[in-house]
Amino acid sequence: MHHLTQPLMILALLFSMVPVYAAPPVTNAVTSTFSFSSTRDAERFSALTNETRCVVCQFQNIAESSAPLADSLRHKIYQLIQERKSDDEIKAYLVKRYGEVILLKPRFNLLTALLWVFPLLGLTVFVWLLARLYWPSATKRVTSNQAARV
Amino acid sequence: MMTFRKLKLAIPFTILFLMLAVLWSELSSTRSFAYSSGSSDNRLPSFSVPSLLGSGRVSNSDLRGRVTILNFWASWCSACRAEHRMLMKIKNQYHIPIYGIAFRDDPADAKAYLSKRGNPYIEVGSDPQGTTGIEFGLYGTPETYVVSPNGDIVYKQIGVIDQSTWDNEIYPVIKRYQK
Repeated sequence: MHHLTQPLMILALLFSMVPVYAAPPVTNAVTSTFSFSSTRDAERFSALTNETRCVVCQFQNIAESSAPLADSLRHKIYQLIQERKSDDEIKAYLVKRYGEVILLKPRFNLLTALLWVFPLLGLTVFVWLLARLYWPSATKRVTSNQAARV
Repeated sequence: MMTFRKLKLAIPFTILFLMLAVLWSELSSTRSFAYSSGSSDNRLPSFSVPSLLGSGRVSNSDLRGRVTILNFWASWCSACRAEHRMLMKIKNQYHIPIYGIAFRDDPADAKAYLSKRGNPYIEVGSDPQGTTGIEFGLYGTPETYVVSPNGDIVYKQIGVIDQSTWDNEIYPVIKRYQK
């Protein structure tokens, strides 16, 4: 029984982390104050404002924030969409002025590669440590088998 | 026992005091950045905003040809009020041309502010939505830029300019470009 609960606990722990990454974008009322010529542009605006960090707030995107600077950023993004700029061009515009930190989901490039790789490395180490903690007998058995073979 | 009770009482107050101290230090902090002229990263962004006091427009081309100061401010900003006397001094005593941009301000409030406190600016633009501020990567007001004669940003100050910042950091940069 004890052997069954341990893997279940680890699975539960891993699944509890999933919503952090898979959380749907927050819908916002801000979009309604801007008028768009197409639904696609409205959706792009919503996605971009949800992915842009409010640089003067704590843990908020500019879609949710009521800070004056967040409002200015929303106006600028709206303006850039009206100028037919692509999502990548708008993101590059924001990063040039505020740094990579302004994007809640940083772009993958040489500068940000570590940001993407470290969580995976951390998760691997975490799982390895858990395995060592909960199945020390298994690791010992492997070692003793190896010793026997030698 | 009594000491432990006193300690239990003191801990929340100590934490509150520390949090207030951090808040105060962050609110009154200034950050400055010096840039070298000629880099493509520090070109003055192109902008064109309606003039607050006249009928024309204020644009980046107005700042070319001599070393100038560009100051983002707002009538609702208390730090800008603290800085205003220094800006008047820069205009009257050091005779450096200062351009202003009223960031996210009601034009009527901005005009009333200047008529009450004096106008340190050679020209003031109005940026009611703050999109010109975003063009500069602005975080808030006041924020000040020193622009070289060929249109490069050579110094950026986030926060209030006081006499010490002026004497030790900003004026030496300006003097370098006045020669």
